[in-house]
Amino acid sequence: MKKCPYEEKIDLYLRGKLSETESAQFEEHYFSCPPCFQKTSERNELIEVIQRRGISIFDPASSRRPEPRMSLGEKVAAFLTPRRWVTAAVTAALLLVVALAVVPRFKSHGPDFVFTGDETVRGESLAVLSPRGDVKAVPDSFEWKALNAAAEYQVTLSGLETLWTPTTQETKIALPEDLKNKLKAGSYTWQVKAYSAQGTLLAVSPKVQFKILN
Amino acid sequence: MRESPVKIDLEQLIIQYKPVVSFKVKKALGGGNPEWEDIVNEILMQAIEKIKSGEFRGESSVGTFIYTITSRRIVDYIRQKTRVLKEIPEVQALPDPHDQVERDERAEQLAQAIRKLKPKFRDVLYLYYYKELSREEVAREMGISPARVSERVNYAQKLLKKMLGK
Repeated sequence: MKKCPYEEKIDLYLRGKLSETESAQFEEHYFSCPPCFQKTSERNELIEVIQRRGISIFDPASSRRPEPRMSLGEKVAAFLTPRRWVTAAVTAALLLVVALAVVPRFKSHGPDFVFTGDETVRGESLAVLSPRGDVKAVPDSFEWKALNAAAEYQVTLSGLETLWTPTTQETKIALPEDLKNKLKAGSYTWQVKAYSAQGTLLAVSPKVQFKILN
Repeated sequence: MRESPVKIDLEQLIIQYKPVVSFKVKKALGGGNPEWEDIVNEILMQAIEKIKSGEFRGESSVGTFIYTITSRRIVDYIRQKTRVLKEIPEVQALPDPHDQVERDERAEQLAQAIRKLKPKFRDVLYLYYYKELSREEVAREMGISPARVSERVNYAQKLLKKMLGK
């Protein structure tokens, strides 16, 4: 059966989207077109029911209607119905019990208080003085603050790789001439470690960066 | 009274036009207005009179003829109402409770049927008629074309009709 061109207007008419003239034309049409009248009347009934009983029809608990563009917060709020809250709480409690029962078996042993290389706690007690930050020329020497119990210090100077690792009993060490000539403009780091008379590592300074500008 | 120049089965006319006139009158006056039925009867009586008296000569279609009477009567009613309301507030008769019960039952059946629709149909009805989004907005929301929105609504209506056994 061929579709009446006026059928397109049914929704617009019922939703009040037609002008007064268009509405009158459409009404005059359905007075003479039984199929259009029937469709209009049925659609009107449907719209009235939806508008009057929409809340009960599209109740979120009884259907999966889409809420236009919900934010994450709204989605979570919509998801957490009272029943789901209870489920979530019980699940969380069970997981906690399991975790508390299992975790002690895998507990790692406590820390060793013997310093070895990288495990050393880098305290403020061993502080480097210079060079640090930007320096105009290749530094003549490296200097740090004395540590009371220290008998010997080891300096490590690194560019992309370790360049120099001298040891000294002073709190300052001069850079040898041959190395001085080799150092070019660029970024370097240095660090100092303090050892006791027995050779035990006592402290490690922070790694300090400095940049030779020329 | 002259003989009617147009042969019209008047009984058939009432059967065919009463629902259309009722629809238009209710839409204009509001379905809750208890006077709608009287007005519909008046309109149909007027139409029959005019056909019998030969005032209706068949220059326009019967539909257009009845539509014209209907619109005029509605305009008159509204004018008269505004005049009356300015003077004395009118005591409104309550709508027939039997009609109301019947309408409620029908509406409930339809509501039940909508709940049973597949989400893709129910969602279109929800966005289009309940949220009153435009056809284009519904299309965007559901990721389909506007033409598809109309198709889904029409198809949903067909399904509902089938479910209600109409």
